[in-house]
Amino acid sequence: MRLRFKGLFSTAIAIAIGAIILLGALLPVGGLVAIRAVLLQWAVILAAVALVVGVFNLLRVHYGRISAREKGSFYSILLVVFMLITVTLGLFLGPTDPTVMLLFNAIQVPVEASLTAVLAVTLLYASVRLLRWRTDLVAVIFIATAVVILLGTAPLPFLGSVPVLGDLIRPFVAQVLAAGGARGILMGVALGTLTTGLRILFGADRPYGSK
Amino acid sequence: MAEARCPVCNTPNPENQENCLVCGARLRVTTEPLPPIRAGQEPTPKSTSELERTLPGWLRDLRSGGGEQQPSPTPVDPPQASQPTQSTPDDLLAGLSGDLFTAPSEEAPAPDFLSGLSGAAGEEEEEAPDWLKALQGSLPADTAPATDQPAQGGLSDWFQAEQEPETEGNGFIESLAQETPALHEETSEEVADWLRSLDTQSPSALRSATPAQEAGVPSSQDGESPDWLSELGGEAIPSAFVEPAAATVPDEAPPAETPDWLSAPGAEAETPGLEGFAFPAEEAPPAAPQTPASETDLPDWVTAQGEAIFPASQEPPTQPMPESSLDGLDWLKGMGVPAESQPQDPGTFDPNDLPAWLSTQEAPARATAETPDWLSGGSLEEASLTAPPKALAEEGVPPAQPPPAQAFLEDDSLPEIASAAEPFSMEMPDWLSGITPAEKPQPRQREAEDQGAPTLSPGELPSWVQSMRPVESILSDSESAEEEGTLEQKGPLAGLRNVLPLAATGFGIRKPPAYANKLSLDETQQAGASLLESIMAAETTARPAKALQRVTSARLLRWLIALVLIVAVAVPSLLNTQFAPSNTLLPPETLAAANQVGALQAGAPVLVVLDYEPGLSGELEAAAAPVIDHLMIQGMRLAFISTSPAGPLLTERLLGKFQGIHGYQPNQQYVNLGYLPGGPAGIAAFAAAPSAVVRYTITSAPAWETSALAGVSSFSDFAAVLVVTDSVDAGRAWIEQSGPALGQAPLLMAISAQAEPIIRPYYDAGQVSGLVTGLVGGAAYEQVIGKTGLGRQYWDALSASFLAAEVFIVAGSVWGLFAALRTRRKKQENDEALP
Amino acid sequence: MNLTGLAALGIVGISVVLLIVLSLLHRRTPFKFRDMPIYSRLRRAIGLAVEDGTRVHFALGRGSIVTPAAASTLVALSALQRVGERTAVSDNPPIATAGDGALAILAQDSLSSAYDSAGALDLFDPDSARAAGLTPFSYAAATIPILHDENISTNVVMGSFGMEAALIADSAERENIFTLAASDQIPAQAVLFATTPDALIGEELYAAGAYLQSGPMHSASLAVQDLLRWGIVGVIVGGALLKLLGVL
Repeated sequence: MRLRFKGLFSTAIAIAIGAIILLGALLPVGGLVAIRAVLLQWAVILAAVALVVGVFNLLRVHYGRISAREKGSFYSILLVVFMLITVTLGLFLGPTDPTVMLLFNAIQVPVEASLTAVLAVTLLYASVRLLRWRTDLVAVIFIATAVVILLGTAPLPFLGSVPVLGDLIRPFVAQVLAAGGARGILMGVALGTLTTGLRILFGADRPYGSK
Repeated sequence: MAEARCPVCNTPNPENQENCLVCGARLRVTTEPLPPIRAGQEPTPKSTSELERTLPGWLRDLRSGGGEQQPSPTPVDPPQASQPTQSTPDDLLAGLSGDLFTAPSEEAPAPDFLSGLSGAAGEEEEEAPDWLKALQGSLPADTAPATDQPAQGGLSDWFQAEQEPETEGNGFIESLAQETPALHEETSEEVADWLRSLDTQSPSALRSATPAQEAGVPSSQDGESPDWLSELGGEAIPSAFVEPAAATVPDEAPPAETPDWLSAPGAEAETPGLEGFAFPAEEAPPAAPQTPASETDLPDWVTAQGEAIFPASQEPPTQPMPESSLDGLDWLKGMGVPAESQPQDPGTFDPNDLPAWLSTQEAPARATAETPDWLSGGSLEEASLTAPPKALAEEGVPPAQPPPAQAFLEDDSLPEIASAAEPFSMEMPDWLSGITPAEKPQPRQREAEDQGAPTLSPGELPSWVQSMRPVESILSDSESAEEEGTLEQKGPLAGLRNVLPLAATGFGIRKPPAYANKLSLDETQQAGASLLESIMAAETTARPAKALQRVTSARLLRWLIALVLIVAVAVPSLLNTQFAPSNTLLPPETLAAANQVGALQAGAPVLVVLDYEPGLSGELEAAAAPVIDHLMIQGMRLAFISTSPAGPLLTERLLGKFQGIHGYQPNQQYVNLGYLPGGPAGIAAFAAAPSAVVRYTITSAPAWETSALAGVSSFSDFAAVLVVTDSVDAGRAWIEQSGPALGQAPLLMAISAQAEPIIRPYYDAGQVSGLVTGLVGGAAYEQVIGKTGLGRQYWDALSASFLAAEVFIVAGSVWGLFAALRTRRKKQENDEALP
Repeated sequence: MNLTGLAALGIVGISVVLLIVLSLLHRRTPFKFRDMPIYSRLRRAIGLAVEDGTRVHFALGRGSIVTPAAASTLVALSALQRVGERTAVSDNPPIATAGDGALAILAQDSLSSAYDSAGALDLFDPDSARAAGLTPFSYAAATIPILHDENISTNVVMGSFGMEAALIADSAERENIFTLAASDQIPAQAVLFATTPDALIGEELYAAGAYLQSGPMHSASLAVQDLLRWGIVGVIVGGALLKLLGVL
């Protein structure tokens, strides 16, 4: 019963807020716009709070892993310890302090840059293997497009740009074909976003904790 | 010299020796064949307490073994003495429903005869007779005793009173008898109902019901089975169980009669909740070897059965019951009455009076009354007591046989045995009737001995034994054989005559004939059978599971790719090579961006948005650095903000590269507004009212009071907005949410190459004034402003790594296509090769 | 109100009407959509996971609820709830990871609802929905060990992802884990196309509810998308023709 009441209340709130934001965007009536602005500021605050909530959720999950002595809990210990150190330093020294910047530049940026490098290897590996398990026309076009874009983007060593590819084919593929395809996809995404939003407004989708 | 071999230990003894010199077993038979029981003859209740002393030593040891010794399906001697039975209904109830009552009644302690009831699952092997072991080995675990109910006698009257109201009396029994066919088909759940009905009554209530029964409930002499036995009977008990019992009683037992002591526990063995009956493993027999006669009136086998019902944790009470408590137990009283005082009129028995279920059993009983195959199976022949009871032998009492119910409860061979003589279910072997304790003979026995009569008078047989003997009319064929019966020489039947009728006929004990179980099939049937067999074999043959089509990781290839890319990137960067020529054609969007920056008024405030992740800082810094450098060259006041949590630190990191070049100071020439949460909503709010959304800098200074933001009160006050992002969504959000608020100020973007296909149309549509795309755009921007920066530094590495990637992709794709074609061809060949 | 606002309002109004009408029609005569084997394989993989006692991992991405990525995130949450209903009573309940704090809370609510629907609310562990990392690559880095350590056999990557989704998909492939990958971001779709055989391209992500039998409203919304798409195609082609004819 409590859950049902909670669900009904959440549904009513969600539908009302969604309708106000939607109508405020489409109908620039004074009252609606003002309410929409207030609600948007609340959304900004909530988004910031959500970040904090995410940090605490992360902390809780890893604390639980440490308590349960799960596999890999040593890494959870490292995460929690360095999270606390970083937060402490950031709070007391400020985010622009050289120590904090050292942590950022020496740890976070290299780690994430390394992951990007791994991603590059992964994508290249996947492209190399693609035709092994997918030998349809789409895959062939995919590989051909990738090669054309690569060749047209950067010059060959000692040779420079490949004629025609760099100044004609690549721009055509990237700015016409790819952009056109991306536009089509974005339209589909927009339609999906629209219908998803309407489902939320109708209460058919209630990701806020009710059946 | 003639010698007499001991039937127990097979030791030769002098011919004139009466008892074995080694084991003390009696060498000669002291009993004679019992007279047949006629149909309708009423059994004579007998007291069997005197037989307590005649038990074999190992049995007495068991009974006195205390808590840790497990009772076994031991043979219990049949009652012979005429001591009045003094058990009480409470005792009996305690024995039969021990696990229904959670607490044993202290007011009604179980007599000693119940002390042996505790089952025998944990019986030590060496204490069990061999023949019993042999039987135990072949008895199905779930074998239940008697199928049918005794037509006469038994301990049922008292229970009848417990089951039925007094007013129902025989009428109910008759109605029950009419419903017997249905009852036969009832499942054990119905038996459980009966037991549950017992469970619902407290022991005191049951005791209070006892006197009423004495007055109102007729005895079972009318041949009608008690209702509770009727409920216990039926098909819940496999007929196979009772076969050996029937085979051992080839004479006088009424057909299809089931001893009540067999039927009750048998039913309980099938009853949920009474699983403990089947020899609970942890049950301990109470130690009461010497019990008063009043406590041991019931035969021990009854005790054993009853106590088997007790749960392991409960021991039957051992206090003797007062005589007065037997008032309602006419059937128990009857056991103490001499045989001749009991109404035994065979002529009064009318088969038509039998209940339907009994009538249905009669015919098959007649048909197969002769061959006790289970005996010929050799179980008894090879059996011998390891410790012959000396005292018993001295008294001329042969070693006792186990009650068939208990014995067969653990005998897996029972169904096989039973298949030979199924109709004789639940009949007591006559050797039980012939057992006579020589010690302390009762007056009637002494008188008979004086007259030269057989030691044990047939009339003194206990009622329960008489009730088990086959009716004479049915077993008339076997009588002739018994008249010439021979003396058993060994085994537990040693010293008894006419116990095994077939042995007397000279056939000897032999193993049952092996019947061929091979079917004779014609060719069609055989073909069908083989086909079915092959199908079954194919079904059960494990096939290797088809692996999911997955890309198997080629670790070597992965490492090779990584190694080549690292070399391609590191070598040019470290060696600062210049082998890759710069692009001669500059992208127009990059030129437009440079022109827009160049057109800005010096010292104007510019909003710089850094929305990218640290992982992509290499590309984005190379793209944005020349633009920012250009802005600083122009002397613009810069306000940095980010919708990414890492953005403020990336801002400090990026500004650190120019700190020594342009000398920009925080809050003076630039201000770091920090993190703007909320995504598009935050952007929209910031575009609508920047000072309302962001009030302080990252150093907690009032943002809008700093010199870097002097004169800025609205979003349109910024001279330009530069968005540096790797995210399509972030780029679109800034374009769509802040564009209208920006007015005529240019919106410039430095984006990752991955976002180009999405952002480029905004540039084409004029919503974005200039666009710097990735490292290539940054290098081009450097070319435009005539400076060397990260773009040029990374240019050779970019060229080499792109070349490596192209080679890998082309080579891998060609190889992949070739492999795919080869696989496909091979598959086609395989398909063609298949018929 | 400008023309764009009116057009948007008109599209929204038409969508509302279509959604209601089609959902009612769907209750009478269920729509038939084109076959999408990926969703069939997902259902099969989920069933196998329940049978063999392995776990389903659901990566929700880092789409915040207040961003345009909220739509794909909500679709993912709906699919998570559906998957959770089917796997709640399995030996190893599903795990959901999010790259955003609010999304982690929503994932907990969705899983809680799924457990409640399955009648196994007592089995719900709030930590089964967690924020793995708050930046894209930290999220990917935190998700990869889960694939390795948590006895995962089915991996659903659905929501708003960038290129980091390729790292997750590649790790799942190395662990021989079935992966369904779908993102609303085009770069992510490109890399997922190369790294996993079961990648949803374009707006196929938004069809998840209809193909996972989440309810008539989901089927109706998919039908509305198709109708609106055909309308947009007609408008684009007609506008181009009118432009060619010099009318516009």
